[in-house]
Amino acid sequence: MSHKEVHAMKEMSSRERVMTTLEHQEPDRVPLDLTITLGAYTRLVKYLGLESMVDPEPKIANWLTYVPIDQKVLEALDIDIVHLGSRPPKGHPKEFPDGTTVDEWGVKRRRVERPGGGFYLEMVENPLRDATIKDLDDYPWPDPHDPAVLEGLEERIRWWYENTNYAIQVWLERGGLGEQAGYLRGIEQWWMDLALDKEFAMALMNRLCDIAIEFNKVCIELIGKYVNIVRFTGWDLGGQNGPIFSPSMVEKMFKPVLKRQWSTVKSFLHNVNPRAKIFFHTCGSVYRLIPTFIECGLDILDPLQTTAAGMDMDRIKREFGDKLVFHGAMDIQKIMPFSTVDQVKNEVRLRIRQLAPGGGFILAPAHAFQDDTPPENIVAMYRAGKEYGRYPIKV
Amino acid sequence: MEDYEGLVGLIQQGNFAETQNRVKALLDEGKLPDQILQRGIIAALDIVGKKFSEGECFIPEMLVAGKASQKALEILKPLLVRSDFKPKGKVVLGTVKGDLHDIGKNIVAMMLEGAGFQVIDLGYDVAPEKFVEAIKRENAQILAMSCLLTTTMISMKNTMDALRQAGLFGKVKVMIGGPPTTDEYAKKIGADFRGKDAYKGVEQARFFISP
Repeated sequence: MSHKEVHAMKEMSSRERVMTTLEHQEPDRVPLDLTITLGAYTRLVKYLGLESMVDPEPKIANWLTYVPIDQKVLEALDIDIVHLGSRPPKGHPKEFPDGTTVDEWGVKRRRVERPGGGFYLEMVENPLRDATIKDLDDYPWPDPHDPAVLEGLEERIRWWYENTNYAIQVWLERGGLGEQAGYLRGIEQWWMDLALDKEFAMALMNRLCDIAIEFNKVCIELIGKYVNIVRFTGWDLGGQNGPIFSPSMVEKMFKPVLKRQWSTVKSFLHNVNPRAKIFFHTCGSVYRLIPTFIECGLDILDPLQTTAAGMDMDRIKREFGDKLVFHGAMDIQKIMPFSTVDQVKNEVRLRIRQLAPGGGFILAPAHAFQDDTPPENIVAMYRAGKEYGRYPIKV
Repeated sequence: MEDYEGLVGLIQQGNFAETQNRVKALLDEGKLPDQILQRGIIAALDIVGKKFSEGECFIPEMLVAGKASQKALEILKPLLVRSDFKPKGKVVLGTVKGDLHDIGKNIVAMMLEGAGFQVIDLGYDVAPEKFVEAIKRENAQILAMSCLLTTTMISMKNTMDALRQAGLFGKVKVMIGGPPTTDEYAKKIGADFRGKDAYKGVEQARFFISP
């Protein structure tokens, strides 16, 4: 047995590593996670020399152009988590000759190229823009029981569970509350609804919450036993300089729906898999909202946007580190796209020092890598994460 | 000052219909349009903007106050034009090429208009040449650009290059805003100012125009 193999035997599997950290204990090293958009992925695959084995241009998974990550890429970067999920219903999104698409909710999008690299499918029409509270009854909502969405889901996830040691994060992408409301109404109109027509806003969020819970339930019955992390559809509650919404609005309007979704889904989940955790993505300056998330039953908070106001990692770890697992923290506004490899490594060291002690930290980008992020910075981040993330933390 | 307090309150609440009624009532009482603008709209948005800047008011409240001020201006604008009212200055504004995120930009536009500026809002996904064309056509003193994403921030630089080529660099004051922007970035591309929030942008616009 070579020296290398002896060393390897002492290592935890990715799944053990993630589960250990999710239970607020120190694993062998900090787990690593990756989300990435198409253009950055294409360049990463080529940079890693994997293009003969890995499709560098897979089909995008959502309007943000996230891509499913090939197992060879996961291996090359020592990533510990595989992201799996449900697929859109048959025939969705509908594609039109002018390049626009309409998704299962009726939201129309068009491809918009970014001068700095990549593209998004941006909203151009919102189906409920002029709706009244009565119209909500007549709207053709997605069917949470649609068999096409569930087709192959169990087999796919079971395959990864049985044949690999990756921790499994499942995206149940029909569960957006406030974010989906914004897509249906148009974000500006939706934010005004929240201030001016609370009855309508609550009716819409409750409707979305019903669909989300039902869909989450159906999925969890199928696949809950294989899953380590259930990722809810994100809802950005923070801006760069402060929360987007007032603390009282979050308390009175958002907390009831978040709590209803999270506690209900968590109880389904724990019936089949008591160790599985729930994950919520919310960008920006959300320090003031963290106690609310904890009260609503959250386990894992993503993405810790360190560049936003009040997102002081030392303080957040000190105040909430025993209750929440932190996922993210690698800045994608300045560090990852625009810094040198050495600056990236220093940032990794800093975030590990602040967040990793005692477990409860998964190093990941603070949003999917965008097309402006050089592959050498991405590789440097994961290499440094592996090196500095070894417990006990000594960086 | 009491006369205007009601209007200031209604704008802050985002009460569109009552805002318009109150403006009509003030006009009926013989108040001058530029006084209503100054002591009603500008005063209200100043309070909201300051509160926002200090973290006491949030985006939905700011949006509805901005919209209410627009409702008031719908009534006042034709009267202001007729009374030879001179706007504080002309601002060409838009979200840059490749970026469709316009809520921040819309708030800045409403705040500027509510502060007495004439605003030429080019919308979102605005190409550098469109900015140049509008600045020339309108003879604007200020250009305000917004973006949300790191991958569209480069459109600000591209627009600065277009200004240089068109001989407008240094002739129009440029301010930028949006989450990825920084003071260093503004400096690097040759913009005059980077606004941390809408209120700071309006303050700076006032400063640019001040004699």
